[in-house]
Amino acid sequence: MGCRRIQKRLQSFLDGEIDSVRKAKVERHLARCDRCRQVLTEIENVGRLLETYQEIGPPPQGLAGPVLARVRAGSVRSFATGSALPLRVWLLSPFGWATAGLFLAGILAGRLIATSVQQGPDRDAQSAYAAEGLNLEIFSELPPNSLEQRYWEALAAGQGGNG
Amino acid sequence: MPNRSAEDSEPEVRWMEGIARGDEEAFRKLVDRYERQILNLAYRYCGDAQESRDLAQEIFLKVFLNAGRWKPRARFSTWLFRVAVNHCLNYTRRRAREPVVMAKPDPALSEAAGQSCTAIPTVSGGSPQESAERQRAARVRQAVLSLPPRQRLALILHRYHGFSYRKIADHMECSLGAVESLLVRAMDRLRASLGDLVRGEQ
Repeated sequence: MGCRRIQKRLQSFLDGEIDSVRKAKVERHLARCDRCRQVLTEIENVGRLLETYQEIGPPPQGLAGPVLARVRAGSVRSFATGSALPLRVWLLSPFGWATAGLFLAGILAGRLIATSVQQGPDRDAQSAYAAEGLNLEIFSELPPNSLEQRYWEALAAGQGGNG
Repeated sequence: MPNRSAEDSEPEVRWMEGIARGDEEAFRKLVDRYERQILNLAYRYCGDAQESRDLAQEIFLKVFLNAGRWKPRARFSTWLFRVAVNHCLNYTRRRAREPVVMAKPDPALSEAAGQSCTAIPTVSGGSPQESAERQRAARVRQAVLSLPPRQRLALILHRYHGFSYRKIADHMECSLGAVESLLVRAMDRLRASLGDLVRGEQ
């Protein structure tokens, strides 16, 4: 192993969190590499310096009393459930999946409609349709001899609608 | 079922059952056992004694409110430290979202002080050696607080709580390799930021 890889193992080497094969490799390397021995010493020194960050003691009355006071005050509901459900809860619940499905379906439907509008007749074709009178007015003409046509003809002839 | 019978022998299991029924005495016993650990995890994470008390209270509040939902599948301490780790990380996210109000530096004051804003404040009183030690401790503290949140937590759990890599992985819900990587990067940063102290202290 090169120096870079050895140096990444030095912390676990010092902590005894390394397997025997790697440990032997680190030891062999350290025996012949001044630079890595220096890094090992520096890591040990950091460990000693960290001891100067001393702990503090709990308040004399302890922490339980103030917590229980907050519970009794009743202003703690947000801690029990949280104001918003965590993502993991949403992912695990059927409701979350249903919501996500509806949301996706909405997006897909919107996209399909937009695509069909975009893929409709182009402007030249639309002009041609207009020139030929091919517009919505075709639906105002009733099919010949249809019941509705006869109704309207009878109505126009003043015979009433019940003939 | 993972070690259910062994876990049932933990007093924490009985206490948690009591807390779920609203037993305040059980809660006091549980807090009494863990408050120093949780308080100091929070303290070394945030660097402020008052803020760490608030954080520790909030962590125990979560324990109280979620006691009914807790299942003794794993050791209680593992669950507690997971709650604490997540709460610390959320605290950092919350702080990051808060607007930072910075006072405009007064040039006259800066000149009078004769030092930059980032300099470690000198501590009056005591012998020069004590003063030097206090300054060194302040630098170490600042270096730890400057670590990225997950590196800081891994370092704290390892150096100050003496947890194995496996336990840290459990508490931080990550792999063993990730723990090793967090610790290596934390140490690299500390070696860089405490360079002169690290090389001078033999």
